Amino acid sequence: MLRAVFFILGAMLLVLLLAICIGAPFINCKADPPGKQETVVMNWAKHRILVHNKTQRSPLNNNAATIADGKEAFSHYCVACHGLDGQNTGVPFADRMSPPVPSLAGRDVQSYTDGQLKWIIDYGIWPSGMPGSKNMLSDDEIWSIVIYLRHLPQAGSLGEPEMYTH
Amino acid sequence: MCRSIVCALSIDCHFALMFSDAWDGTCKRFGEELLRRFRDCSPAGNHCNNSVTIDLQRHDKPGSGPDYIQYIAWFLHDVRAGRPHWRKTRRNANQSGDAIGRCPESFLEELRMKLVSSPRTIFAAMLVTALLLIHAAPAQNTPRRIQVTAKRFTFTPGDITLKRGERVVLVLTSADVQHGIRIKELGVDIKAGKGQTTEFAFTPDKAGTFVGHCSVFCGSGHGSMALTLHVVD
Repeated sequence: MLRAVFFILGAMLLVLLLAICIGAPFINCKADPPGKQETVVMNWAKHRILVHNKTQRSPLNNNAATIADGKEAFSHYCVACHGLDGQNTGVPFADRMSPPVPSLAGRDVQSYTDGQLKWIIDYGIWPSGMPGSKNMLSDDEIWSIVIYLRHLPQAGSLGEPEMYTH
Repeated sequence: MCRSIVCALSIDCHFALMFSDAWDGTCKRFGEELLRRFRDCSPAGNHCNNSVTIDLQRHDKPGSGPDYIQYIAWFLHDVRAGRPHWRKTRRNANQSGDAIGRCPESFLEELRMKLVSSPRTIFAAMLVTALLLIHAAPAQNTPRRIQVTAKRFTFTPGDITLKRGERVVLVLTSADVQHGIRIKELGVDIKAGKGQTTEFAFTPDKAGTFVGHCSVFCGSGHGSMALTLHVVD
């Protein structure tokens, strides 16, 4: 009985190794842009199923001071991928990631609710490159970023992040 | 000279009683100062001093003011007579339950007469009173200083209780990188650079619990680096 189990496991391992060897030339992990169908499906899934917290509202007031706070909090490390303006200005690798770094002023992002944006900043989005920031930023800072995202400046108006200008 | 100062201080205790709304630690502090000065010149020495201090603490509560003055007068009487004070007090307390006892009326009268009649004593009393009041006034207005150390995503102490309307100075020291504290509701905004100390004076004007976060991005635990202020009435 034990020998039979080992035989089956061994056979499965052999098949897996063969599949990898045969499929390797056709399947790779290049960061190619996702196809159109994949993008449509994933966008739908994220908005409808995968990104939670649709109904939560921001506890902060939507005013100039909060926008300034959000801009400040955004500058801690969000700018490394999203640029100072949230529209990837000056980010050299923005369109080389898979999926590419989206413009935060674009419709795909702006159509999330405030609660969903908070959730995305809290937990990130797998398997994109978006990391979670819960505990790295305070709740107030994250909510102020959400408000800043609703009031992004014109693309390019803030220049490029300092880290890419040296 | 010594008696003049003691008399002056005992007068000051009367003043303090009149000025203060309640019988609090103020008069006790005057009393301790009185005893400290007495220790240097009293024939009774430390033995008396200790016994009186203990009794003062016991009677440092509302309603004990007149007893306290009586006690000082009695103490002066004993010291002047060169008698140890402690044993007598304890014996009286054990036998009658009255720890204060009564100072002989004759001495009280003598003391009153001296206070009223001696210009030197009155001058000394006024001088000492003025000095004590001047000394006490800035102490009441000096804001409480609260030391807070920021290090690696933690404020120490992390919980602080303040009194509403009491002016405080927050002294923030950073033990590693730059940190800050921001509490919007109370208008607190302070930053301290790497290894530096910064002060921020403010008066909490509302009661409640307020949570402030580090206002300078300091690394992976920045978002959970918080300081809680409890402001009570």
